Amino acid sequence: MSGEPAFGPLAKAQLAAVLQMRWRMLVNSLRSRVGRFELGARIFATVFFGIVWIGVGLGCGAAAYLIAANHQFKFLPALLWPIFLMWQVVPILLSAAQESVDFNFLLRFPVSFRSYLLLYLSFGVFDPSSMLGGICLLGVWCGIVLGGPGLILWITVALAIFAAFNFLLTRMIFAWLERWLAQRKTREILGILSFVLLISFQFLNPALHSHGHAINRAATFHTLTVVQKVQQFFPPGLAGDAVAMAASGQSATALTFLSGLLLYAGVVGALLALRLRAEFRGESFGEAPARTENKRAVATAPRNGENVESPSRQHSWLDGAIGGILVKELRYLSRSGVMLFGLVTPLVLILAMGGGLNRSVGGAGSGLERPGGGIPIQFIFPIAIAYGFLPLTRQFCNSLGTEGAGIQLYFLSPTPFRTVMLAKNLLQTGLFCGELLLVALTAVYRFGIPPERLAIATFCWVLFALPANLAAGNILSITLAYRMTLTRLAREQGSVGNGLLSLLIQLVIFAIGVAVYVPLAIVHRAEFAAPIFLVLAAGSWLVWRRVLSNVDGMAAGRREALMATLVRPA
Amino acid sequence: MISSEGETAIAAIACKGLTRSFGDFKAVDDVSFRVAPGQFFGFLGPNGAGKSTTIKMLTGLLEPSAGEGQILGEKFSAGALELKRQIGVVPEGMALLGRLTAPEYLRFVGRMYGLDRETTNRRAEELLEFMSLANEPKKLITDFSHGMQKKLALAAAVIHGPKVLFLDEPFEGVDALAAGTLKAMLQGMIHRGATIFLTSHVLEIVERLCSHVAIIHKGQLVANGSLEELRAGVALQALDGPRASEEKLTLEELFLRIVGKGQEEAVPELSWLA
Repeated sequence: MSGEPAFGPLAKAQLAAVLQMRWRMLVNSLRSRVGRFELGARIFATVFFGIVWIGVGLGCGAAAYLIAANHQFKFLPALLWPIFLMWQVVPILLSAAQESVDFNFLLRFPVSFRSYLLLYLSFGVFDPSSMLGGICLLGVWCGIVLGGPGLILWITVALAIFAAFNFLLTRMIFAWLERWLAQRKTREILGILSFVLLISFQFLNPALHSHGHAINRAATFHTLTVVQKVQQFFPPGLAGDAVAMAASGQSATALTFLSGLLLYAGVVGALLALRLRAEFRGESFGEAPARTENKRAVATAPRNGENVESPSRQHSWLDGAIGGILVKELRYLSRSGVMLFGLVTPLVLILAMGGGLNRSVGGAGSGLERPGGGIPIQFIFPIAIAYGFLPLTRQFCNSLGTEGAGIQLYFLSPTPFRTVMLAKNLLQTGLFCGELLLVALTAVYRFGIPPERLAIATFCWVLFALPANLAAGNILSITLAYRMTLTRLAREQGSVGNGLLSLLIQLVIFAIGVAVYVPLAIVHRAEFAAPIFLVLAAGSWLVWRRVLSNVDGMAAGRREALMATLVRPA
Repeated sequence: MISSEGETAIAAIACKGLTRSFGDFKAVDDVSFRVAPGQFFGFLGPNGAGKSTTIKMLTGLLEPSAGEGQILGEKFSAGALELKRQIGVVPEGMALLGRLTAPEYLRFVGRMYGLDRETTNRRAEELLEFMSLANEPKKLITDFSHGMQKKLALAAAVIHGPKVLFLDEPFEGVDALAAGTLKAMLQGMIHRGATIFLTSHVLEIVERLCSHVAIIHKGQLVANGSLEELRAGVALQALDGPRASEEKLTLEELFLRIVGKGQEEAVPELSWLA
C-alpha cells in the first residue's frame, strides 16, 4: 500500500471522497438551528478576517513595491521576517480558535502514507495562519513584480519555497507539540524547557536595555550588523537575499540561497513526515495518572475500625457532588497538556513579547505616558489583566465540551445540573484567580506598579467581569457546546459560532471597562470608576445567580442537542 | 398484538402512549407497557426499532413527544431527583468519562449519587474486583477495550444500589466469561427485589434471564408478555403453519416470526462477495 503514488487514481478518489464527506457534513449540519448559526458565524468570520487580511496583504504589497521600485532589495528580509513570525505566532495565539480535522479515522481504509500526508497538508492550507501568510506573500509577490517585472521568476520561486517552508514548519510545530503534550513525562520536559526559555528572556531584556535612554548609536549599529549577518542564514533572510542577489545579477549566489531555503523546507518536511508516519502507524498514547500509590489497601482495611475520612470531612460540601466534580475537573486538567498549554500561553506572551515595552516608563504618574506613542503605559496593567481572561475563554464558554459521553451521567444522576455548573464555575474562578495573580505579578514586574486608582479600578472591574463571564459562559456552554478533543490543540468542528460569541462577550466586557474608566480619567475623576464598577459587579453577580438558577431548565431543554453534539461518534 | 394482563398495583416501570417523533418520523409510536417490581424484563427489537429511544425517554434523557412514563409509581421527569436515586442506567453511549481511571470514575459517580466517601470507596473496590477491572487501576477509561468499558458502565450504574436498572445492550462486546459474571450479578439483584429492564440483541441471554419480554418493531409494540404467553400467542396465530401449538419455540424463533413477518422474501444475492 505504501507504493501507491500520492496523486494516483486511488489517492484522487480518496481525496474526492473526503471532500464530499466534509461537504455532506456541512450540508447536514444545516438541518439544525445551531448548525445554521454556525454557518452564519463562519461566513461572518471569513468576511471579517478576509477584509483584515486583504488589508494586511495590500500593506505588504505596497512595501514590496517600494522596495522593488527603489531597488532596495536588501530590505526585503525585513519584510519577510514579520511575515514569518506572524505565520508561526498566529497559530499559537489562535490555537484555541482554529479548527482541526482528525484524519486518524482514515487509517482503517486502504490509504497510503503519501495520501494521508497529502490529505493532512491539503486541509492545513485553509488554516488562518496559512491563509494570512499566503495573502501577505501574494501581496509581496505582486509588489515586487510590479516594481521589478524582470524578477518575476526569482521572486516566484523564492516565495513559493518560503511559503512551503512556513506552511510545513507550522504543521510540524503543531504535530510535535501535540505529541509532547500528550504524555506526562514529555509534557514535564517541555514545561521545564519553556520555563528556562522564559527566564532567559528575562535576562535578555535588561541586557538589551542596559544603556537606559542614552542610545549608543555605535553599539546599536554594531548590534544591527550582527543581526543582519545572522539572519542571512535563516529562511526569511535566505529568501530575501536570494531575490536581492538575483536583482544585482549574482544568479549563482541567488541559487545557493534558494538551495539553502529548500534545504530548510526539506528538513522541516522530513520532521513532519516522521511525526505523521508514527500517527499513520496507529500510535496511541495511553496516559496513566501521575500518582502511583495504591489506595486499595486504605479503602479495604481501615485500621482499628477507623474511617479513612474524618466524620467532619465526610459532611463537608467538598465531599459531595461539588467536590466530586472539582476533583474530576482537576484530573482532566492535569491530564490534558493541551488545556494546560492554553492556560500558560498568555503568561508566555506577556513575558516574552512585553519586552518590547520599556519597563522604566511605568510608575505612579497620573499622566498618560506613552511608550513610543502607543498605549499609555499605565493601561498595560488593566490590559494584561483583561488578557488574563482569554486563556479561560474555552473553560468559561464551553465548559461541557470535554465531557463526551459522560454528559449523560449529569442527566441521569440525582445531582441538579446547576450543581454541576456551580462546581465548574468554582473551578473556573479558582483558575482565573491563579491566572490573575500570575498575570498581575508579571505585569508589575515588567511594567512597574500601576497608579493606585487604576489598580483599584481594575480590581473592581474584575469583580464585574468575572461573574459576567461566568454567566455568559454558562449560557454558551449549554446552548452552543462543541466537543473538545483533549489531545488536539485546535478546536473541533462546530466551534466557530461559540468562538465568535465568546470573543464578542470578552470585547463587550472589556469595552465597558474602557468606557467607564477612560472618560473619568480624562476629566480627572478616576476615583469614581471603582464605585461604578462595584455597582456593575453587583448587577453581574445577580445575573450570574439568575442564570445559575435557570440552568436546570436550560439544560433540560437542550439535553438532546447536548448529547447529540457531545456523545456523537468520533 | 399479544398483550399481558394481570398487572400489579404499582408497576416498577410503566408507560402509556409513549411516543417520540423526529420530524415526520415516529421512532416510538404509542407504546404502553408495565413492568412489575422484581421482574427481569427484556425489551427486544431489530436495529432502529426504537429500543434505545424508549429507554432514553424512560430515564429522562429524551423528552417524549406524547405519552408519559412512570417509575415506581411516580411520573418521571428530568427534575425528579429523588427518583433518579432509585434507578441505574447503562445508556447507549455508556456515559463514561474517558480521561479518568476506573476507580476515579466510580468514586465520581458515587459522589454524584450522594453516597458518602467511605461507602463509595468500598463499593468501588468491590465492583472493580467483581468485574475483574481491579488489576487496571491506573489505566484511563479511554484506553479500555469495549467490553471493559461495558463492565465499568454497569458497575457505575449499580454503585448506588438502584431499585430499577435500565440496561441498553449490556452484553454487547463482553466476553463469555464476563457475561457469565454479569448475568450472575443481575440475577442476584432480581433475587433481592430489583427490577431490570434490558435491551439486547443476544436472544439466548434474554431467554435465559428474562421472565417477561416485549418486542418493539418499527416503533410499535408488537408483543408483550411472559415467554409462555408469547409462545401461546404465536402458536394461535400460526395454527395453519408448519409447527403445531404444542411445539416449544425458542425466543429466536418467536422473534423472527413476530418481527420477520413479510420479510422472508428472497434476499438479494450479493454475487460480488467472495
